[in-house]
Amino acid sequence: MLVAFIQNISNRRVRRKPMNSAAGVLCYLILLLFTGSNGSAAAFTSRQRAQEANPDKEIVNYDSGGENIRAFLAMPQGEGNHPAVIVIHDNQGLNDGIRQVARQLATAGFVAMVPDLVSRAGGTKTPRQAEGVLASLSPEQSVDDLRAGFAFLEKYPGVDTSKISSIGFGWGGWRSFKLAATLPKLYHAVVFYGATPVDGLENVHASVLANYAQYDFFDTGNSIWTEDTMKQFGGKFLYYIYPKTFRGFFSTDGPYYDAEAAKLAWSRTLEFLHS
Amino acid sequence: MKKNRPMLTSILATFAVGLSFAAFIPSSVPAASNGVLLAGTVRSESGEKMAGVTVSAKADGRTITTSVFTDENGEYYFPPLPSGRYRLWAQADAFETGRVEINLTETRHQDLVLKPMQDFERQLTGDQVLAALPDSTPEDRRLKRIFRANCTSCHQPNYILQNRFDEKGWTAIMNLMKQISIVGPYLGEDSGPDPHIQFYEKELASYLARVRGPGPSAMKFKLRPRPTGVPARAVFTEYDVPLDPAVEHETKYVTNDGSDWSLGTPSNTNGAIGIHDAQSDLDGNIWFTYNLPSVDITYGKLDTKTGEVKFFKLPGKGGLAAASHGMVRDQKGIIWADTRGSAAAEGIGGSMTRIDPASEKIEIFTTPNDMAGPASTVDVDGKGYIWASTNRGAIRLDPAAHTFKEFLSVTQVDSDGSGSGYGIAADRDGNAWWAEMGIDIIGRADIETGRTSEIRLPPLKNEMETLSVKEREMNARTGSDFHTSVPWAQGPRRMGADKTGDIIWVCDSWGGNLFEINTRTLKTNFVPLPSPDDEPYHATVDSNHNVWVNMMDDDRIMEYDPKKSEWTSFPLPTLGAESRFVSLLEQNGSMRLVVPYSRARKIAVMTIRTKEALQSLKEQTQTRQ
Repeated sequence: MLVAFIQNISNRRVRRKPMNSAAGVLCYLILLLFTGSNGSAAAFTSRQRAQEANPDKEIVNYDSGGENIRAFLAMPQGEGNHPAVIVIHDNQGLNDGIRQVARQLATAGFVAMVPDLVSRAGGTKTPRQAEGVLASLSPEQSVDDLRAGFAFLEKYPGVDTSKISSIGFGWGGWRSFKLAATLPKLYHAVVFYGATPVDGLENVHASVLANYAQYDFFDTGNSIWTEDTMKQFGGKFLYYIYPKTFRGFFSTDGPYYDAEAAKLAWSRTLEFLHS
Repeated sequence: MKKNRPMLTSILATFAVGLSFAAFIPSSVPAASNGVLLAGTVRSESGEKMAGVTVSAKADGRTITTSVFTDENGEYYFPPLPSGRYRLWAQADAFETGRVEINLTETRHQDLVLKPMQDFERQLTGDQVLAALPDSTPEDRRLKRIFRANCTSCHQPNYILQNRFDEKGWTAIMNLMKQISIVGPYLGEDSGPDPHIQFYEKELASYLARVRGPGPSAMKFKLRPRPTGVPARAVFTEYDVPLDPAVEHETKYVTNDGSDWSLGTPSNTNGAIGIHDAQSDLDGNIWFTYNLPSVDITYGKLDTKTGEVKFFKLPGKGGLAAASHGMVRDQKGIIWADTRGSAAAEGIGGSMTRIDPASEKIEIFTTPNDMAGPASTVDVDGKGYIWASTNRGAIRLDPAAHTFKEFLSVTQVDSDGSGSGYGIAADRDGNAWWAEMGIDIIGRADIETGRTSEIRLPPLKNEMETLSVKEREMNARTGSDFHTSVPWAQGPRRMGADKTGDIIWVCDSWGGNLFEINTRTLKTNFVPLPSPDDEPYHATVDSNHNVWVNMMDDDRIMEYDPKKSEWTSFPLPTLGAESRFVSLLEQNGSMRLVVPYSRARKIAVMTIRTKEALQSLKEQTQTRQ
């Protein structure tokens, strides 16, 4: 089904459609007032519902080559095994915004884990501190920590080990794609305005969805090359460009938050992850 | 537009400048005011007198090189030089360098003979190399354009094409280039590749291997004419600027400063490059900016009498000196410049600095936290206000009140890219004009109304039409910036205002033209450069309304006379100079053109001798022999 879905639209450049009525915009703005401004962009289910989905302890720890990696974990309600998502933060580290993304994923039925990739330096304290630490980490090291997170989830109770995916934002976007290139067992990978790895696309087994911002020229400019290369290797790659948006359009606490684009991207992302 | 605010930080910053210091003073010998005459004739091996040959002289142990050109009789005449032991060399494309060492104690006639050179490609300037790329088929023409749009804006075409590689080699180079920042550092694999290079990598590698590979080349070199007439009467005085002493590990292998063309184009990088804008003060000394990361250098001052260079440091961030970029001299002779990464700047702000050449006192004026700081270039309007481009428009500094006003570009970003400001020019009426290079827009601040407007440049449709649908889409998504561009971009980079007229001259780097704007009627006009491969960078206008343009890729200064619609080419004596700026000092009826060399790390002063002055020199030389 997913293959058919992707084949159907992968050759089209899908653009966001503008809301078609003033009333629709007004209703949407009212909805935003109720969902608040400090959560994730996925706040179309209420924060309360999201938090109810994760009543248990939210911090887990796992080993990555002898280093302890601390992670935020959100569990969905319901018995049985659930698909899982590794949520990869941007260069601001593990913060409330990314926790809220995990909670929204849990609400949507996923086991969602956000590894704090600043763990090797004591964990995220402030956005500035996180940015400094992450800039000094080798890309491979952070991908190693994500792979270890995948192994951790494979053994975690309640996880459907055949459906462990990843989603990354900005700095984490490249890592989500790179994880797919180095981890054949990854089910799906989602990239929000992130770079495409130059090498290794021939090894991508996961289906990949990319959500690009029109004004994020560098990463979005690589969309055609990425699509061509994935197609060349028989990979499944689907992407959308959100008109008149900037890198960070999904981040409610950032300057480039775009509610309409974020809503659309999130609905597409959930559909993709569920497929 | 923002309200005026008191600039309290400037007071504090004035004390911070006490940290300035002289970082390096090379040994040098004062120049004699009435020195020794040196002249001679340059002939080819076959005995023909050669016109337009560049003849250079540099005294042992000194940092100053003087260059002149042979006249139509193959004769050269240096202005009086200080006595001493000199290296003297003569150069012309496709000839081996003629060298001799002389002891100059009295008037001397020294002839030189040049032997033809078979493999002269490494001698050639960027325009000649670019012009030699094959473009007779639509496919070659398209790839040549793509090469130019993506590989010639941070360095010259000859920087690259002096080398030969096979396809694997060119691919390896592009694999690096697509992952580095503008100033050189590798950004890491997670930064993503430059989309233009990534998209065209295979095609470009194949094209470059074909035209500049180990085998026979499809390049057809056509030498440009050597200078005659007015350009042959030019005198260049080039001053060496010392390497950055803090990065000796990076500079210890720097051996080529472009003086000997047969060595090829200098490929110097960190610690050896960085000089950007330069202005002469009213005493004839030259101040310059430094735009690459350095521990010690924000600005420099060159004593043109001795060649001494003194560096000034403003505290930056992360242990570095603040960098700088734009520089202008106001009507009172005060030098104004910008700084980047100044420790004094907070928020999104940046800093402007006022340099008093007499006292060497530097004051910093920092924009308020909610106002954009200077991005790259500065100018002074006819009323004495200082302007700087920003990443979202322009700011104006009132030098008396120490307050800023901000003017926002009408279009900050569009589907073609970001509208960050680059060049700026302020007219005599007090309006400012700035280039949004990535999106082919000229912004304008109308000082009377306080409003901003814009002029959009038309795209190069003929370039657009050579592209496939997919290519167009990739280029449209990627857009242009200061260094890579969509093939149809005009690329308005820097500009100059006619301060005694009503014209702004915009250098369209990729369009290869000057865009002329009448500041009062707003009428516009395109003035093409002589060759479609020419890439104008910055312009300055003299009191006769003539436009002087530095050609970063070509090692030339071009003069445009709007009255005659004529271009005149003044070749620089250095190969790979990579000048990013040109400025003027007109005093007492004479004009000095200041040309900083970014890559070759020199600062040149060009003067032009009158026929009468040259004739007088000839007579003096003959009399004293």
